[in-house]
Amino acid sequence: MRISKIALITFVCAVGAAAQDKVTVPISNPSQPVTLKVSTMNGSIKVTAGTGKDVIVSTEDGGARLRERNPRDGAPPGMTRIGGGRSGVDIEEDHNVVTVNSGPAGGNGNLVIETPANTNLKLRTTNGSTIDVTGISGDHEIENTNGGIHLNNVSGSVVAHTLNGAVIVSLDRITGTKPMSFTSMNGKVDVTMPADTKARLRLKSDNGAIYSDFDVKLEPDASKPVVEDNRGANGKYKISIDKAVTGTINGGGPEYTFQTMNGNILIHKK
Amino acid sequence: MGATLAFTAAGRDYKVEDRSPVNHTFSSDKKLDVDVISGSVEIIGDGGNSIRVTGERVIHAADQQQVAKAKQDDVLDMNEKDGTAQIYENGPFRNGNNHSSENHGFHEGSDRDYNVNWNLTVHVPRETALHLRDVNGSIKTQDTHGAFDISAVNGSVTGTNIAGSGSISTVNGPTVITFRENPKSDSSFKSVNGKVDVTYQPNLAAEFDLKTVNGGMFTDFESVALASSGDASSKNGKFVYKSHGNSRIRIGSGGPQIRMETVNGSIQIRKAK
Repeated sequence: MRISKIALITFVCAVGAAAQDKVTVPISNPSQPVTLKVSTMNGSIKVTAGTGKDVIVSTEDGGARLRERNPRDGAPPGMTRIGGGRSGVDIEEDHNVVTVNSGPAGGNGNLVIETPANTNLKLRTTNGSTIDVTGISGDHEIENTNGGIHLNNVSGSVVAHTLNGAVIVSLDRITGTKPMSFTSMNGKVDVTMPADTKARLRLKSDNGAIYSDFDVKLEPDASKPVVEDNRGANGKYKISIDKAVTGTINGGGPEYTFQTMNGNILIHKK
Repeated sequence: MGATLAFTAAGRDYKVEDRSPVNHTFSSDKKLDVDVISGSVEIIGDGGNSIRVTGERVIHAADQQQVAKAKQDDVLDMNEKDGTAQIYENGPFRNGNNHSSENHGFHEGSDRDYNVNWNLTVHVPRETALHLRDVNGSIKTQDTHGAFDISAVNGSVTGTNIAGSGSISTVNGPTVITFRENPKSDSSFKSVNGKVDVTYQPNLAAEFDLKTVNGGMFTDFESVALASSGDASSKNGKFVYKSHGNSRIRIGSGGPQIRMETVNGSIQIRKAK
């Protein structure tokens, strides 16, 4: 009973159409790192480092799409649509793993989450305008489809991927020797890393340039052209060469991939 | 009427129709309890001081033998006790009538080749409390003021110019209510496959809990959005929060909780003109 009381601290915006819900999720073992898995369809995700031991999940009505919708759309004459709703989320905590899901019909709300600074993030949205993370340390896997990814002052390791949007990451500290990846299809990839980062960089932009203030020691192009010979079967003869460039910084280390099709790649020294 | 006509009932063609009137007057009861399986139910509030039942039983059957069997099997029990007038359709379809699984005696064959509808109009004193159940048929109430507990399955529920508080639901059909006086206590209006359309007086002050899966939610009242709700629990060391997936709004200064819910259909909160 005690938990339900703590957990249901809901508050209400006094005016306007934006109602916000807030759920406080107690963590089983606060001395250990948290893993936060978030999956939504049409809302943005914002994660910040909180000061407490709990994870606090707030939902806001009206993802971008809903706000743009005229409240009179599809409404009977003289009536307006009762907005939002369905922003409800289902949340589960099990041994420090917090799972936040917006159901298929419930994916219209934006999620704002406060979590302890040591949290591994696994965040996914499809049509959220952005995934925005600040000040979280852990192993992060971030995936968007139609929107950008902004990770500010994070630490640990990062795998970030979107199709349509920029990937902008600022790493304060890199821990471990995990490979990392920063990829987009249509958008720039802009990553800032500590100056002493040791890594082997694998860089590829089809229609853009690659910039860095790191001293990147380019490796001789070791990739061999791949020959596809189908002439025997009336096919074609094709030679393809991998356009990726590889190079090391600070003597080399784990492989970090930076890739986009339409956009520049920028790698900054912190 | 005659042998050349075929009556389609429950997907079958019956050759014989039998109609007979229903008339009954209860003494001065405060509550009406109707529980029928097939037929339409209409309740009309008026200035009278007794509950008056009129209507007809309509039998469609394969032959006269089946009509006779229908008359024997399917009866309308009308009783009153402790201020409650009860109208109850009884027959072999009810539990305990030789067909329920608890009864291990000899089972009468189920060769029923008929269909019975009880179409009833009940005039009641306006303040009569209503407890109405119907499986196959619509329920209408008009000009009633009493508390209501109304539930249909295959049919619409309509309330016209009513007052009072309570719950109204159906599964397959719309729930359409017009209040002449707004509910003073918590109430609910539900359907599954149908719209939920309720007209309130302009002085409405209530909090609404709204939910539809496939449909819009509309109002012509000024409303304020409230936080939606959910349940938090802790079991086997797991914390689980389940959202109700609802929308909550306040109209006027707030007041009773009114729940409007459907799955396939729109929800409309209308202001009476």
